[in-house]
Amino acid sequence: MTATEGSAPQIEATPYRYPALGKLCVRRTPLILTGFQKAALAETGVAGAEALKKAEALVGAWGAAGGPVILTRRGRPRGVALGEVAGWRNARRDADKMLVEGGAGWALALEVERAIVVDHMGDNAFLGSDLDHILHQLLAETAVFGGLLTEGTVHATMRAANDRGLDGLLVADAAASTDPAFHATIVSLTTFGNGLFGAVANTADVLKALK
Amino acid sequence: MQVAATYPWPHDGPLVPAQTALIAIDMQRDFCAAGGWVDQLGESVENTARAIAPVSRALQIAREARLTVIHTREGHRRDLSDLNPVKQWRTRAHGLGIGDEGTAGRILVRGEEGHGLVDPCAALASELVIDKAGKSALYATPLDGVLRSQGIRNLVICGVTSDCCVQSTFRDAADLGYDALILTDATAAVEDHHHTGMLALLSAHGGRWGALASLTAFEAAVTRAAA
Repeated sequence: MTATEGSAPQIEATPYRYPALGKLCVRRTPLILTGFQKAALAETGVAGAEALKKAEALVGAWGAAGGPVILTRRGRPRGVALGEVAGWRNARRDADKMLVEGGAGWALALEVERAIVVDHMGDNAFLGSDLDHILHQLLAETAVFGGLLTEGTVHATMRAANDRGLDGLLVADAAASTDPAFHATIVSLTTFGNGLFGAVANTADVLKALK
Repeated sequence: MQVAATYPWPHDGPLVPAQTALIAIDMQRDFCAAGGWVDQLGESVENTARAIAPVSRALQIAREARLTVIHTREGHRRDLSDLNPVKQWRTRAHGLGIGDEGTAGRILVRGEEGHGLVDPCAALASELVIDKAGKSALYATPLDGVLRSQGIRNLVICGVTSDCCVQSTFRDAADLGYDALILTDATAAVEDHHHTGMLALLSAHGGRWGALASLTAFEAAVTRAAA
């Protein structure tokens, strides 16, 4: 099958060529970009801006290959308070804050026509959302990840997807943190033990496989 | 990288034993003991084994303070019906994967010798043991429901490994509204840099997902609560 028919050969990744089993079926593999919101983008500075550029390239190629694109958006509805503990923690920090829906910082930093937007109140985009349900409808067994912050919404969602049995691929240069050491830690432990949480590749590797 | 200070835990006042559970994660032979899975793979259990004594101490402190004590074990049903093919494939990369016959029985399979808890961290008959197929103890297990039905809001988390099941549980606990504490010296990872890296990022920004503190600090909190 060619890329335009919704499938692709494997992606060169670490620690294994991705996906682990079988061919990559792009049509049933969502590209899940978590937390690419304006406030997070501002906080991650240059690293975030570069990750966004890579994410945009991924979105273009993935969509062209017939793959679903999911953008997740962390925030809380206007009339709903965060849980007591989450609210307390949120109030006492200046960075990586959980924001109210509708605010400027909460808004997505990239616009994708036909993207599925999933709203969630924590870091793990599966909790309290319909992400699980959507993945079931897609018959997804694989998912590709990027977003902000690497050690926040990206890893929280990817590790949860892993628990659910999905073979995940982290596109490392399409994710960023406010601290490069945190980003590096997540990338490293993702691949530990032949892929504790999945595999890791760069945007170039993904684009090459889609050609 | 350093562990930054987070916040005095619990965030809203003194520890209340009736609202607190200690969760000892995956202190199993397969992860911590000579002859277990990690050891059979030729990896070092030096780090994970070092968690045994402090976790055992944490269990003792929790029991004396009458906290709810819960243990978890990572592993799979004997028919492997809860084992995802990709997870099995990954673990077989070094020739001995989940479900395969090792020297301590089948790897990470319920009922097998390697799957069991190490003796110093054994569960008492009255204590709940949660078997889980994933990393987070709150995924696909009764744990969340059990905690809520018992009015437990605060969790003390220890065990192995810090970069995997401990942090996964800690993250889900945060998203589910718990105030959780990781005992930094009663947890470990197979590789040092993953352990220190994980504790550093978890403790950043004053503790985004919960608190981190030492076993000594936990013991002091328990003592104050009893006073």
